[in-house]
Amino acid sequence: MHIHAKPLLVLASGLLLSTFGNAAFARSIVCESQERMTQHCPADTRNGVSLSVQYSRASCRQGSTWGYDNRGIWVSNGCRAQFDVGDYRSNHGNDRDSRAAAALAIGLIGAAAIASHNDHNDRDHDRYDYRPGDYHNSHGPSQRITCESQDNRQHYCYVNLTCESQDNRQHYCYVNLRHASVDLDQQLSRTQCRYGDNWGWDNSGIWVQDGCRAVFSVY
Amino acid sequence: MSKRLTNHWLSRVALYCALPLGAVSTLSVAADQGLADAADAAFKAADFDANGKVSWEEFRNRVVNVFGHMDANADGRIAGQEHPPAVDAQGKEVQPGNVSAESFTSAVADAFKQADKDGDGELSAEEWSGKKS
Repeated sequence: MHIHAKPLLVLASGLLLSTFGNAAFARSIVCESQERMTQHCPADTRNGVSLSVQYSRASCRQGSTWGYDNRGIWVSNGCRAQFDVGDYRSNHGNDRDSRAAAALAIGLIGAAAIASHNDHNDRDHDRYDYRPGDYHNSHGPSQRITCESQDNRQHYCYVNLTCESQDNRQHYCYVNLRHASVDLDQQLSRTQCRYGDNWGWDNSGIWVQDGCRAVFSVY
Repeated sequence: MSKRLTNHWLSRVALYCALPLGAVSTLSVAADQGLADAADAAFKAADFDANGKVSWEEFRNRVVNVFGHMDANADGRIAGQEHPPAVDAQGKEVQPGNVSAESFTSAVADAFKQADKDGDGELSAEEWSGKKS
Protein backbone atom coordinates (compact mmCIF):
# COMPACT_ATOMS: atom_id res chain seq x y z
CA MET A 1 0.00 0.00 0.00
CA HIS A 2 2.74 2.32 0.94
CA ILE A 3 4.46 1.55 -2.36
CA HIS A 4 1.51 2.84 -4.37
CA ALA A 5 0.96 5.99 -2.37
CA LYS A 6 3.74 7.98 -4.00
CA PRO A 7 2.65 7.50 -7.63
CA LEU A 8 -0.91 8.40 -6.60
CA LEU A 9 0.35 11.55 -4.95
CA VAL A 10 2.31 12.47 -8.06
CA LEU A 11 -0.75 11.80 -10.23
CA ALA A 12 -2.94 13.93 -7.98
CA SER A 13 -0.39 16.72 -8.07
CA GLY A 14 -0.27 16.49 -11.84
CA LEU A 15 -4.04 16.73 -12.10
CA LEU A 16 -4.08 19.71 -9.79
CA LEU A 17 -1.37 21.40 -11.79
CA SER A 18 -3.08 20.73 -15.09
CA THR A 19 -6.43 22.01 -13.76
CA PHE A 20 -4.87 25.15 -12.44
CA GLY A 21 -2.66 25.39 -15.47
CA ASN A 22 -5.61 25.36 -17.86
CA ALA A 23 -7.20 28.26 -16.04
CA ALA A 24 -4.01 30.15 -15.48
CA PHE A 25 -2.77 29.86 -19.05
CA ALA A 26 -6.02 30.18 -20.95
CA ARG A 27 -5.85 32.93 -23.55
CA SER A 28 -9.39 34.07 -23.04
CA ILE A 29 -11.29 33.98 -19.76
CA VAL A 30 -14.84 34.89 -18.76
CA CYS A 31 -14.88 36.28 -15.25
CA GLU A 32 -18.12 37.12 -13.48
CA SER A 33 -19.00 38.93 -10.28
CA GLN A 34 -22.11 37.40 -8.76
CA GLU A 35 -24.21 39.01 -6.05
CA ARG A 36 -21.92 42.03 -6.48
CA MET A 37 -19.12 40.14 -4.75
CA THR A 38 -15.55 40.40 -5.93
CA GLN A 39 -14.56 37.35 -7.95
CA HIS A 40 -10.98 36.39 -8.70
CA CYS A 41 -10.16 34.32 -11.79
CA PRO A 42 -6.69 32.77 -12.00
CA ALA A 43 -4.76 33.85 -15.07
CA ASP A 44 -1.25 34.42 -16.28
CA THR A 45 -1.24 38.21 -16.31
CA ARG A 46 2.48 38.77 -16.89
CA ASN A 47 1.84 40.16 -20.37
CA GLY A 48 -1.22 42.18 -19.51
CA VAL A 49 -4.96 41.70 -19.77
CA SER A 50 -7.58 43.41 -21.91
CA LEU A 51 -11.34 43.30 -21.74
CA SER A 52 -12.68 41.95 -25.02
CA VAL A 53 -16.44 41.53 -24.50
CA GLN A 54 -18.56 43.04 -21.75
CA TYR A 55 -21.60 40.89 -21.01
CA SER A 56 -23.02 42.70 -18.02
CA ARG A 57 -25.19 45.75 -18.04
CA ALA A 58 -23.35 46.61 -14.86
CA SER A 59 -20.36 48.68 -15.82
CA CYS A 60 -16.88 47.22 -16.15
CA ARG A 61 -14.34 49.97 -15.48
CA GLN A 62 -10.70 49.09 -15.06
CA GLY A 63 -9.42 49.93 -11.62
CA SER A 64 -12.93 50.26 -10.25
CA THR A 65 -14.89 47.09 -11.04
CA TRP A 66 -12.24 45.03 -12.78
CA GLY A 67 -8.51 44.73 -12.73
CA TYR A 68 -5.72 42.23 -12.53
CA ASP A 69 -2.79 41.39 -10.33
CA ASN A 70 -0.06 38.80 -10.46
CA ARG A 71 -2.51 36.04 -9.53
CA GLY A 72 -5.19 36.75 -12.09
CA ILE A 73 -8.19 38.89 -12.97
CA TRP A 74 -10.76 40.26 -10.54
CA VAL A 75 -14.24 41.65 -11.17
CA SER A 76 -16.75 43.22 -8.80
CA ASN A 77 -20.22 44.78 -8.49
CA GLY A 78 -21.78 42.66 -11.22
CA CYS A 79 -19.16 43.13 -13.91
CA ARG A 80 -19.11 40.12 -16.23
CA ALA A 81 -16.80 40.07 -19.19
CA GLN A 82 -14.47 38.11 -21.37
CA PHE A 83 -10.82 39.00 -20.98
CA ASP A 84 -7.96 38.35 -23.37
CA VAL A 85 -4.67 37.52 -21.74
CA GLY A 86 -1.37 38.80 -23.09
CA ASP A 87 -1.24 39.48 -26.81
CA TYR A 88 -4.15 37.19 -27.59
CA ARG A 89 -7.16 38.89 -29.20
CA SER A 90 -10.49 37.11 -29.48
CA ASN A 91 -11.95 37.22 -32.94
CA HIS A 92 -15.69 37.84 -32.96
CA GLY A 93 -15.97 39.28 -36.44
CA ASN A 94 -17.20 36.19 -38.28
CA ASP A 95 -20.60 35.86 -36.72
CA ARG A 96 -23.16 34.75 -39.27
CA ASP A 97 -25.38 37.55 -38.08
CA SER A 98 -22.68 40.17 -38.34
CA ARG A 99 -24.77 42.26 -40.73
CA ALA A 100 -27.63 42.31 -38.25
CA ALA A 101 -25.12 43.09 -35.51
CA ALA A 102 -23.74 46.02 -37.48
CA ALA A 103 -27.23 47.40 -38.09
CA LEU A 104 -28.15 46.92 -34.45
CA ALA A 105 -24.96 48.65 -33.38
CA ILE A 106 -25.77 51.58 -35.62
CA GLY A 107 -29.24 51.82 -34.12
CA LEU A 108 -28.23 51.50 -30.50
CA ILE A 109 -25.34 53.88 -30.92
CA GLY A 110 -27.75 56.35 -32.48
CA ALA A 111 -30.06 55.95 -29.52
CA ALA A 112 -27.21 56.21 -27.03
CA ALA A 113 -25.77 59.22 -28.82
CA ILE A 114 -28.82 61.30 -28.10
CA ALA A 115 -30.27 59.77 -24.93
CA SER A 116 -28.48 61.31 -22.00
CA HIS A 117 -29.39 58.67 -19.49
CA ASN A 118 -32.21 56.18 -19.84
CA ASP A 119 -34.29 59.16 -20.66
CA HIS A 120 -35.48 61.32 -17.84
CA ASN A 121 -38.82 61.76 -19.57
CA ASP A 122 -39.35 58.01 -19.43
CA ARG A 123 -38.81 58.06 -15.72
CA ASP A 124 -41.15 60.94 -15.13
CA HIS A 125 -43.70 59.43 -17.41
CA ASP A 126 -43.62 56.09 -15.65
CA ARG A 127 -43.21 57.49 -12.20
CA TYR A 128 -46.61 56.51 -10.91
CA ASP A 129 -46.23 52.93 -12.06
CA TYR A 130 -43.52 52.32 -9.51
CA ARG A 131 -44.14 50.22 -6.46
CA PRO A 132 -41.68 49.48 -3.71
CA GLY A 133 -39.77 46.42 -4.79
CA ASP A 134 -40.22 47.08 -8.48
CA TYR A 135 -36.50 47.22 -8.87
CA HIS A 136 -36.27 43.47 -9.01
CA ASN A 137 -36.90 43.96 -12.70
CA SER A 138 -33.47 44.50 -14.15
CA HIS A 139 -34.95 46.05 -17.26
CA GLY A 140 -36.78 48.79 -15.45
CA PRO A 141 -35.75 52.40 -15.64
CA SER A 142 -33.04 53.69 -13.41
CA GLN A 143 -32.88 56.52 -10.97
CA ARG A 144 -29.86 58.74 -10.65
CA ILE A 145 -28.52 59.70 -7.25
CA THR A 146 -25.66 62.00 -6.44
CA CYS A 147 -23.72 60.90 -3.39
CA GLU A 148 -20.64 62.77 -2.24
CA SER A 149 -18.04 62.22 0.41
CA GLN A 150 -16.99 65.50 2.03
CA ASP A 151 -13.77 65.93 4.02
CA ASN A 152 -12.92 62.28 3.34
CA ARG A 153 -15.66 61.19 5.73
CA GLN A 154 -18.10 58.45 4.95
CA HIS A 155 -21.44 59.65 3.73
CA TYR A 156 -24.50 57.47 3.40
CA CYS A 157 -27.23 58.20 0.87
CA TYR A 158 -30.58 56.57 1.40
CA VAL A 159 -32.26 55.70 -1.85
CA ASN A 160 -35.82 56.86 -2.16
CA LEU A 161 -38.11 57.66 -4.98
CA THR A 162 -41.56 58.96 -5.67
CA CYS A 163 -43.40 55.70 -5.84
CA GLU A 164 -47.06 56.53 -5.90
CA SER A 165 -49.35 59.45 -5.66
CA GLN A 166 -52.09 59.48 -3.06
CA ASP A 167 -54.57 62.34 -2.96
CA ASN A 168 -52.45 64.01 -5.61
CA ARG A 169 -49.64 64.51 -3.11
CA GLN A 170 -46.10 63.34 -3.45
CA HIS A 171 -45.21 60.31 -1.41
CA TYR A 172 -41.68 59.11 -0.94
CA CYS A 173 -40.81 55.47 -0.42
CA TYR A 174 -37.50 54.17 0.70
CA VAL A 175 -36.41 51.45 -1.64
CA ASN A 176 -35.14 48.08 -0.63
CA LEU A 177 -32.19 47.54 -2.92
CA ARG A 178 -31.95 43.84 -2.21
CA HIS A 179 -33.06 42.96 -5.72
CA ALA A 180 -31.67 46.03 -7.42
CA SER A 181 -28.37 47.00 -8.89
CA VAL A 182 -26.42 50.14 -8.22
CA ASP A 183 -23.87 51.31 -10.70
CA LEU A 184 -21.45 54.18 -10.74
CA ASP A 185 -22.71 56.38 -13.49
CA GLN A 186 -20.53 59.44 -13.46
CA GLN A 187 -17.53 60.26 -11.36
CA LEU A 188 -17.56 63.83 -10.04
CA SER A 189 -14.37 63.70 -7.99
CA ARG A 190 -10.80 63.65 -9.16
CA THR A 191 -10.34 60.78 -6.74
CA GLN A 192 -11.07 57.53 -8.52
CA CYS A 193 -14.10 55.81 -7.05
CA ARG A 194 -13.29 52.14 -6.53
CA TYR A 195 -16.08 49.76 -5.67
CA GLY A 196 -15.65 48.22 -2.23
CA ASP A 197 -12.82 50.60 -1.48
CA ASN A 198 -14.33 54.06 -1.30
CA TRP A 199 -17.87 53.33 -2.39
CA GLY A 200 -20.41 50.57 -2.07
CA TRP A 201 -24.03 49.89 -1.36
CA ASP A 202 -26.33 47.75 0.74
CA ASN A 203 -30.06 47.13 0.98
CA SER A 204 -30.92 50.70 1.97
CA GLY A 205 -28.54 52.96 0.18
CA ILE A 206 -25.15 53.93 -1.11
CA TRP A 207 -22.04 54.87 0.86
CA VAL A 208 -19.06 56.88 -0.28
CA GLN A 209 -15.89 57.88 1.52
CA ASP A 210 -12.35 59.13 1.06
CA GLY A 211 -13.20 61.77 -1.48
CA CYS A 212 -15.31 59.74 -3.86
CA ARG A 213 -18.10 61.88 -5.29
CA ALA A 214 -20.28 60.44 -7.99
CA VAL A 215 -23.66 60.06 -9.60
CA PHE A 216 -25.06 56.57 -9.21
CA SER A 217 -27.82 54.82 -11.07
CA VAL A 218 -30.21 52.39 -9.46
CA TYR A 219 -32.00 49.91 -11.66
CA MET B 1 -44.06 49.16 -16.38
CA SER B 2 -41.19 47.30 -18.02
CA LYS B 3 -43.23 46.32 -21.06
CA ARG B 4 -44.27 49.90 -21.56
CA LEU B 5 -40.74 51.08 -21.20
CA THR B 6 -39.39 48.37 -23.47
CA ASN B 7 -41.87 49.36 -26.13
CA HIS B 8 -40.80 52.94 -25.74
CA TRP B 9 -37.17 51.96 -26.15
CA LEU B 10 -38.02 49.86 -29.17
CA SER B 11 -39.73 52.75 -30.86
CA ARG B 12 -36.95 55.06 -29.88
CA VAL B 13 -34.25 52.76 -31.20
CA ALA B 14 -36.22 52.15 -34.37
CA LEU B 15 -36.55 55.88 -34.80
CA TYR B 16 -32.82 56.39 -34.57
CA CYS B 17 -31.70 53.28 -36.36
CA ALA B 18 -30.55 55.37 -39.26
CA LEU B 19 -28.53 57.67 -37.04
CA PRO B 20 -25.08 56.24 -36.57
CA LEU B 21 -22.60 57.94 -34.39
CA GLY B 22 -21.34 60.84 -36.39
CA ALA B 23 -24.44 61.08 -38.50
CA VAL B 24 -26.49 62.58 -35.71
CA SER B 25 -25.44 66.06 -36.65
CA THR B 26 -25.15 65.69 -40.38
CA LEU B 27 -28.61 64.26 -40.76
CA SER B 28 -30.63 66.19 -38.31
CA VAL B 29 -28.91 68.62 -36.04
CA ALA B 30 -29.04 71.49 -38.47
CA ALA B 31 -32.78 71.08 -38.65
CA ASP B 32 -33.32 70.14 -35.05
CA GLN B 33 -31.55 72.07 -32.34
CA GLY B 34 -33.24 69.88 -29.77
CA LEU B 35 -31.45 66.85 -31.17
CA ALA B 36 -28.14 68.70 -31.04
CA ASP B 37 -28.75 69.56 -27.41
CA ALA B 38 -29.69 65.93 -26.72
CA ALA B 39 -26.50 64.72 -28.38
CA ASP B 40 -24.49 67.18 -26.29
CA ALA B 41 -26.18 66.00 -23.11
CA ALA B 42 -25.60 62.38 -24.12
CA PHE B 43 -21.92 63.09 -24.70
CA LYS B 44 -21.58 64.60 -21.24
CA ALA B 45 -23.44 61.65 -19.71
CA ALA B 46 -21.11 59.18 -21.41
CA ASP B 47 -18.03 61.17 -20.37
CA PHE B 48 -17.69 59.34 -17.07
CA ASP B 49 -14.69 61.25 -15.76
CA ALA B 50 -15.71 64.58 -17.32
CA ASN B 51 -12.40 65.08 -19.14
CA GLY B 52 -14.08 66.24 -22.34
CA LYS B 53 -13.43 62.98 -24.18
CA VAL B 54 -15.24 59.67 -24.34
CA SER B 55 -12.89 56.72 -24.16
CA TRP B 56 -13.61 53.26 -25.54
CA GLU B 57 -14.30 52.03 -22.03
CA GLU B 58 -16.79 54.84 -21.39
CA PHE B 59 -18.37 54.29 -24.77
CA ARG B 60 -18.58 50.52 -24.35
CA ASN B 61 -20.28 50.82 -20.97
CA ARG B 62 -22.80 53.26 -22.38
CA VAL B 63 -23.74 51.19 -25.41
CA VAL B 64 -23.70 47.83 -23.62
CA ASN B 65 -26.13 49.34 -21.14
CA VAL B 66 -28.52 50.10 -23.99
CA PHE B 67 -27.98 46.56 -25.34
CA GLY B 68 -28.97 45.27 -21.89
CA HIS B 69 -32.16 47.32 -22.04
CA MET B 70 -33.07 45.70 -25.33
CA ASP B 71 -32.24 42.18 -24.19
CA ALA B 72 -35.62 41.53 -22.57
CA ASN B 73 -34.99 37.89 -21.65
CA ALA B 74 -31.44 38.63 -20.49
CA ASP B 75 -29.90 35.80 -22.49
CA GLY B 76 -27.11 37.99 -23.80
CA ARG B 77 -28.55 38.10 -27.30
CA ILE B 78 -30.86 40.36 -29.24
CA ALA B 79 -33.16 38.13 -31.20
CA GLY B 80 -36.73 37.87 -32.38
CA GLN B 81 -39.00 40.57 -31.06
CA GLU B 82 -36.16 42.14 -29.11
CA HIS B 83 -34.64 43.18 -32.39
CA PRO B 84 -35.85 46.61 -33.45
CA PRO B 85 -36.45 47.44 -37.11
CA ALA B 86 -32.99 48.14 -38.44
CA VAL B 87 -31.32 49.49 -41.53
CA ASP B 88 -27.70 49.35 -42.56
CA ALA B 89 -25.40 52.29 -43.26
CA GLN B 90 -26.90 52.59 -46.73
CA GLY B 91 -30.41 52.75 -45.34
CA LYS B 92 -31.32 49.28 -46.56
CA GLU B 93 -33.55 47.25 -44.29
CA VAL B 94 -31.78 44.46 -42.45
CA GLN B 95 -33.55 41.27 -41.44
CA PRO B 96 -33.50 40.73 -37.70
CA GLY B 97 -30.81 38.31 -36.69
CA ASN B 98 -29.61 36.60 -33.60
CA VAL B 99 -27.05 39.07 -32.38
CA SER B 100 -24.64 37.94 -29.72
CA ALA B 101 -22.84 40.23 -27.31
CA GLU B 102 -19.62 39.25 -29.08
CA SER B 103 -20.70 40.27 -32.57
CA PHE B 104 -22.40 43.37 -31.20
CA THR B 105 -19.18 44.41 -29.44
CA SER B 106 -17.22 43.83 -32.61
CA ALA B 107 -19.61 46.02 -34.62
CA VAL B 108 -19.59 48.74 -31.98
CA ALA B 109 -15.80 48.71 -31.86
CA ASP B 110 -15.70 49.21 -35.62
CA ALA B 111 -18.10 52.15 -35.36
CA PHE B 112 -16.01 53.67 -32.60
CA LYS B 113 -12.84 53.42 -34.69
CA GLN B 114 -14.57 55.04 -37.62
CA ALA B 115 -15.83 57.89 -35.49
CA ASP B 116 -12.39 58.39 -33.91
CA LYS B 117 -11.08 60.52 -36.77
CA ASP B 118 -7.78 61.49 -35.16
CA GLY B 119 -7.16 57.96 -33.91
CA ASP B 120 -6.35 58.96 -30.35
CA GLY B 121 -8.60 56.26 -28.92
CA GLU B 122 -11.11 58.75 -27.57
CA LEU B 123 -14.05 60.66 -29.01
CA SER B 124 -14.24 64.41 -28.74
CA ALA B 125 -17.61 66.14 -28.71
CA GLU B 126 -17.09 66.91 -32.40
CA GLU B 127 -16.31 63.31 -33.22
CA TRP B 128 -19.30 62.20 -31.16
CA SER B 129 -21.68 64.39 -33.12
CA GLY B 130 -19.93 63.98 -36.47
CA LYS B 131 -18.88 67.60 -36.82
CA LYS B 132 -15.26 66.55 -37.23
CA SER B 133 -14.47 65.05 -40.61
